[in-house]
Amino acid sequence: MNINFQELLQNKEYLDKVISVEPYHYKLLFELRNGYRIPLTITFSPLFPMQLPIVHINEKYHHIPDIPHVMRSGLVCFLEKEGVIWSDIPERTLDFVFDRVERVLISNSPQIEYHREFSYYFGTLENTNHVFSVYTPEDEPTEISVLAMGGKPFAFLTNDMKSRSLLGKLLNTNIKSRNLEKAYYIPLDNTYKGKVPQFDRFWSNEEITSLIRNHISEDTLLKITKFSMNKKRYFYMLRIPLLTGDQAIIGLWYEKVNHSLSKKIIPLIDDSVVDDFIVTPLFIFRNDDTTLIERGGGIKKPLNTLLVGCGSVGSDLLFMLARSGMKNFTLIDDDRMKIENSYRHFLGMNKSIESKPKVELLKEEFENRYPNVHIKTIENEVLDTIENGEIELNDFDLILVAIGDPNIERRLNKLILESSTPAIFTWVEAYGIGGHALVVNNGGNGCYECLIDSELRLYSSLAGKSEVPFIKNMNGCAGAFTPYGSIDSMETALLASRLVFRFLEDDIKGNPLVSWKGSSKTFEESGFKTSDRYNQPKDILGQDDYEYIDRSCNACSNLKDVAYYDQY
Amino acid sequence: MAEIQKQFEEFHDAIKLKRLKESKGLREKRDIITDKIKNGVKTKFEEKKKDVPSLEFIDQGSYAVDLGIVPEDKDYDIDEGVIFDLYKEDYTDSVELKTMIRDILENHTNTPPKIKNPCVTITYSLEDEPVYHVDLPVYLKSKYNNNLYLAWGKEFANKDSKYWDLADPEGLNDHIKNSFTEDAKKQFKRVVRYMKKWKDVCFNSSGNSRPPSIGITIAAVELFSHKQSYNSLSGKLKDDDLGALKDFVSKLKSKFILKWDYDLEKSFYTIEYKLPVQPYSNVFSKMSNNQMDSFYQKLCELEDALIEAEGKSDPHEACNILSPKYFGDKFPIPESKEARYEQVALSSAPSSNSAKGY
Repeated sequence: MNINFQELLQNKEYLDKVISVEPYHYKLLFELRNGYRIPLTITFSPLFPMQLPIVHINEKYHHIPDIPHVMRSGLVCFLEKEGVIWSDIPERTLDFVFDRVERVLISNSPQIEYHREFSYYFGTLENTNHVFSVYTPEDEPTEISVLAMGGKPFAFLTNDMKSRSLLGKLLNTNIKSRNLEKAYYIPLDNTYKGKVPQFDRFWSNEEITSLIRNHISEDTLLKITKFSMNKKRYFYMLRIPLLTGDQAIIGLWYEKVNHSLSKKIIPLIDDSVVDDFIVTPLFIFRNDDTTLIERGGGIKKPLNTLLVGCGSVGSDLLFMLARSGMKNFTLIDDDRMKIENSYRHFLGMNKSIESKPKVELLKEEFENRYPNVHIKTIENEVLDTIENGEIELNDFDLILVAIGDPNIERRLNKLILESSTPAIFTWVEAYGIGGHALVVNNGGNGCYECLIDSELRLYSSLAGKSEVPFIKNMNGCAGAFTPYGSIDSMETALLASRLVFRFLEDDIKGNPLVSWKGSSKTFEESGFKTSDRYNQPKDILGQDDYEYIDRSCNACSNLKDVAYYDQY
Repeated sequence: MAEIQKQFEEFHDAIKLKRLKESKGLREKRDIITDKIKNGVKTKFEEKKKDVPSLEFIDQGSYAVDLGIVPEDKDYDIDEGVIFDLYKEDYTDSVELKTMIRDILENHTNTPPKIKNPCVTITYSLEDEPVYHVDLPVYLKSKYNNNLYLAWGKEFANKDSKYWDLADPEGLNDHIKNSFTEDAKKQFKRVVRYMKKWKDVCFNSSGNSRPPSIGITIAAVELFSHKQSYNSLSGKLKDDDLGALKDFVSKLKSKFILKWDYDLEKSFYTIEYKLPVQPYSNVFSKMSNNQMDSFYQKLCELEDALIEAEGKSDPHEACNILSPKYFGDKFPIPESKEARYEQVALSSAPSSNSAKGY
């Protein structure tokens, strides 16, 4: 596109004294809407308007203000978030640019707004180094370790076997003691109210020392001093309470460059040492006990979960929950991983060759992927496992049932109702017409048994009545299985996962049934009919359904707690 | 915080009574009148075969202390004190000399002069010219002290309504003029003018519902404090009129006390402010409880608006709160984002990138 930039700029009434410095590069005066006139330079990309121009405050004529999103060079970072589409008409693109630039120059966002995105801004720092941490921050200052390769920090940890093996698994290597250096963890006591470091504006030495000195006790100061004696490089991990009430975890790495400096000088505390040390901010990727959780989606308490059934739905469910930060699972399944249904199983075909027990393979896979995850396995049929006393249902916080066998599930439902542990049943229907998740034993009436009517049909069913079982042979193989695809099991696992999170958020009343429905095309083409329930709109099916509850259910109607029942 | 100092200053330029330019006419009128009074008094006293007293004139009012604003109705006024070198003890009728001045200026203008309680008013209405009026308070001295006494009363009022009232016009001028210096003084004047304009815009002009300007001015002398703020963009410390005005309004508000009115069986916010010079009377005394209460409520609204404006970072939004509702349409409103930047045609496109977070 051939754009006359000079003309484009001159036509804007808010721009004045447009002078071409060189092709694509102009200087001009920008009049803010409050009347303030500021000299800027603007550099267009040949790809304008697909690419936005670069705007600087012209430091020849104006000082570079110390305000957020303006870098020391005068660069105005007017577009910081991704996911924005702007007009492709040059005049409008320019309006968009100057609207944004003006916003940076006149906005006086309260400090808390920057604190809210502390991590984001800290991550924009130019000379930052990224490190892992498997150390779970505590409330007391303490000596920890840092894995350093060639003097460069790699990860914070505690120098014990557990921490080392966790990190070893994460990095897929053996952590040797000689690679560990000492670091100091400092939780600040008082809320930090100051500026959030960003782009090329890291804290000055004075700012760091005042950050430390003003936010810790005398006692902590002494501990830092003691720790910091006689070192040539220093690693600190700081926990900073922010205005939002959250806490930021960052690291600082000091490398001494003036080696004749007294060993008693401590960079974190003495502010007169600007040139004697190089300080590098450390952006910390936390892989400790608290963060997998916080970042994943909000699992707050350590939860002991029993997963019964490790087929397609069960394995996908395990994957979603583990990735979201749940860590303790007991898996029960007596099936082995076979090639014929491996295409929709989480583990995939290559794991099916040896025909190993699913529970064993899953443990291996997940503990490798997520070193924080702990999995116990029971390779047995569930009812037998319970009846022979191998497990006690009351020991679990949550039971997930993904067996897909109504007859076993009916019995399991009764056993669960005798315990005090809530459960979520989940299963998928044939040919992708839908899937379900049902909460059981979460106070009040409603259970798996309620779904079953006198004709032994399931209330939830999206498939209509059929004399023929919904089974189809695949490739003439001997193994029979309900035909549903990988996406359908995943969708069902997702439905159940969301229910698990609601359970954790204490956001489920009683024992709802939720369902999803897919296309009925293949199903109907195969000669089957859908049920009346299938005709309900998707959003209705997705909502909590309590209609299924049978007040005379022989499994749950004599339960005492009916607190939630009347509300629906 | 809204950065709208420039808008405040533009507003001030628009409402300020320009001393040299706009008031030049007034000054000429004043000089013609004072000359006429001097000559007239001479003639009258000579006619009576009395010693002709010497006369002194003193500029009074907002014009004298440079706190005037362009009047809404273009009725410019000028206050000029006439001080006779005579003793009040020789003049039992306080209106006698006012009548003399009225008579001297009888045919000076088309509209006959009028004797009001505190002064004689000369009204100018010349063709094609805005209307002016000149208020002439009349003062005498005393044999027993150095005070001045204002001739109070109307021509045919009964005896009780005609008296000599202690006054110190020069002291008042000095009190106001000498209260602040340099930048503080400039901001003080601006803040008083903003308040006067607000008064014109937000109060009914009839009766005493408008708080008197002298009240606002006296209060500002005591309560105003110079405010500056650091402008992060320019890196300079600059006057902060919004902050100073807000500060003054909230201090003035705090001077109100809740008072129970037994007759109306209701409580009112009332305010009292003593004149800092003779006769030390309450400058708000003419306002009724109801009027003072409404004054208070309006101050609260103004304070809220100033706080709200301060909270906006967009200058258009900030000024839009203040103008025209509180300060009239002379307060400039910068164009809105939408008006300037046509259509930015921006959408926020949800992408996996924007959901990744940290």
